[in-house]
Amino acid sequence: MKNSQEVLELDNVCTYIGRTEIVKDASFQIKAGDIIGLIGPNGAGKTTVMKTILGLTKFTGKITMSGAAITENNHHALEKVGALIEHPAIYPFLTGEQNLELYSHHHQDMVKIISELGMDSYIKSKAKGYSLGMKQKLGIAIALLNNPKLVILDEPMNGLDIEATIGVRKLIKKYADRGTAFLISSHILSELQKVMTRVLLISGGKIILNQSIGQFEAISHQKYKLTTENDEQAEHLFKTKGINFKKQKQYLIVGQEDIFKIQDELAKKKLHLKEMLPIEANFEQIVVDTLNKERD
Amino acid sequence: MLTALKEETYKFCHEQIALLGLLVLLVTTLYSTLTKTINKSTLLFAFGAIEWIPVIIIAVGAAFFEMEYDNKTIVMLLYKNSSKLKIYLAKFLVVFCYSIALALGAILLTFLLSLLTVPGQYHWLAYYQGHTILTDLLLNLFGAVIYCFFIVGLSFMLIMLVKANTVVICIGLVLAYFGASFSTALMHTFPTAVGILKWNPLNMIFISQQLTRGSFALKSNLTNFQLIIATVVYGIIFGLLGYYLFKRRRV
Ligand SMILES: Nc1ncnc2c1ncn2[C@@H]1O[C@H](COP(=O)(O)OP(=O)(O)OP(=O)(O)O)[C@@H](O)[C@H]1O
Ligand SMILES: [Mg+2]
Repeated sequence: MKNSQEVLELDNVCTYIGRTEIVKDASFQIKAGDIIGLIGPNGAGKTTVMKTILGLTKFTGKITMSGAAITENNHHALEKVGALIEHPAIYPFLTGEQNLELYSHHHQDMVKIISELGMDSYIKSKAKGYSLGMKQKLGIAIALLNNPKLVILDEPMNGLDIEATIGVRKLIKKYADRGTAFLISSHILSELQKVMTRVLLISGGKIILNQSIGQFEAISHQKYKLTTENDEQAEHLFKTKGINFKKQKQYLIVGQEDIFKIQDELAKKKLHLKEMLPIEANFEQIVVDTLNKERD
Repeated sequence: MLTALKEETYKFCHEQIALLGLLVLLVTTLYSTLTKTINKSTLLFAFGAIEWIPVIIIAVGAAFFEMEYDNKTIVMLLYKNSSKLKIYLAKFLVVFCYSIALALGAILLTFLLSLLTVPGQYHWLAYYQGHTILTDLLLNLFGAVIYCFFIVGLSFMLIMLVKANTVVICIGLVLAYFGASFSTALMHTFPTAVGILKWNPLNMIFISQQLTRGSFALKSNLTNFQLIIATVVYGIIFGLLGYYLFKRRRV
């Protein structure tokens, strides 16, 4: 039931902590079913952006949720927002279930979320005995309660094992397919790459890039791996013609920008290509490259 | 507001600080039962409960608020509510009601302990110097509850200021043990300034004794009525300062 209905909009939002401007002029939209990855280095302002949306900080500019304004003193528009910020908000003296009940309006939904996250076996024991990952899952469960329109997750995969990570990823996709929008920050970039539909790169408090995942991967330096009938000869040829390449196992790795030139030169030498394949974009490298470009 | 109150009460009961506070009350009254000779004033002051209830309340108040920050639940609490005042008031009320509960518990304990230690020696409804023991006990506990209003405000203000439970508990103990003597000493040292000094907040501690012992008015330099009003006003002032700090505290 995907549609392109707008859920959240930030207009020239600047966040202040004391007198320091932390988030600088952020503007973006989130639509129903979007899974936005908020990516940036430590201290970039990811958590601060999220707290600002939740009306927890001083800010200028405008934030609206389905058209209704969110301010520091009016959180009514946040009714349909679930959130996990930095650390799961859990009362250790309550059981997992009691923690959920504090916020839950629909018992049936709550029970479903518990089983979707595989927490049945320990949900009735006190949260103080939970492991890091169990707490994290409970925090995610709290964020998913009450059919939220927008779910904000700050580093949700923190402390989760592989199985749990896959589970959470599936769950996020499932909710997004039903129209729930997600704003997720994470350091485990490859994790996000598999779910997100848009990328927001943030650095030094500024949103420096806002693109769909498709666009994002296209602008990245696509690399190709190739083998020829005679790789030794090919290597020699590349060196003499000034073509950058790397050897990796049985392949020669080259950049997209050299593809035409390579094909020309190989043809001239009557060297036949045996195989040439694009390499999947190395996501983390893309992020680092983009951030570096921004700094220059 | 009602939902906020319900939630806070729920948390308060489940956190079991309520039970812990009651336990402390039990232990301290038992201690004074075992170590002190029991006379009429032991009964009037509920086996020391009058002194201990404020100490328990300052600790419980601070712990009950600070745990929201320790557990990071403050983020949820704040974003799910538009009104910080509502959160603050709900917490204030819950802790204050708890002090009333402790006072009621102290009455029961006093009955029980007197029955065990001095059975039949004192009659609750017999008149001593124009008062019955029962009315004096109730009056003292009423004083203690008013003082607790002051203490809840102080506790919330201090925890927002120093953000550490242990510090607030230490301040509470110092207040309980030296507050009154410090206040009287202060007024002795500067006899010309008594008119102003008698309004110092430390002087409010006399409220839990003076209501039944008129002679304490000589130490506090305040009438009962003045004392009650001043204690409540201080409670409100501390409460408001605490609220201001709470509003500005970053999460
Ligand atoms: N309470 C605070 N007081 C002062 N500065 C703060 C405070 N909280 C955050 N900052 C500053 O705001 C900036 C952004 O912090 P934020 O926590 O949003 O970063 P982040 O992108 O979430 O980092 P991380 O990846 O480490 O979680 C940092 O430079 C930090 O120094
Ligand atoms: Mg962060």
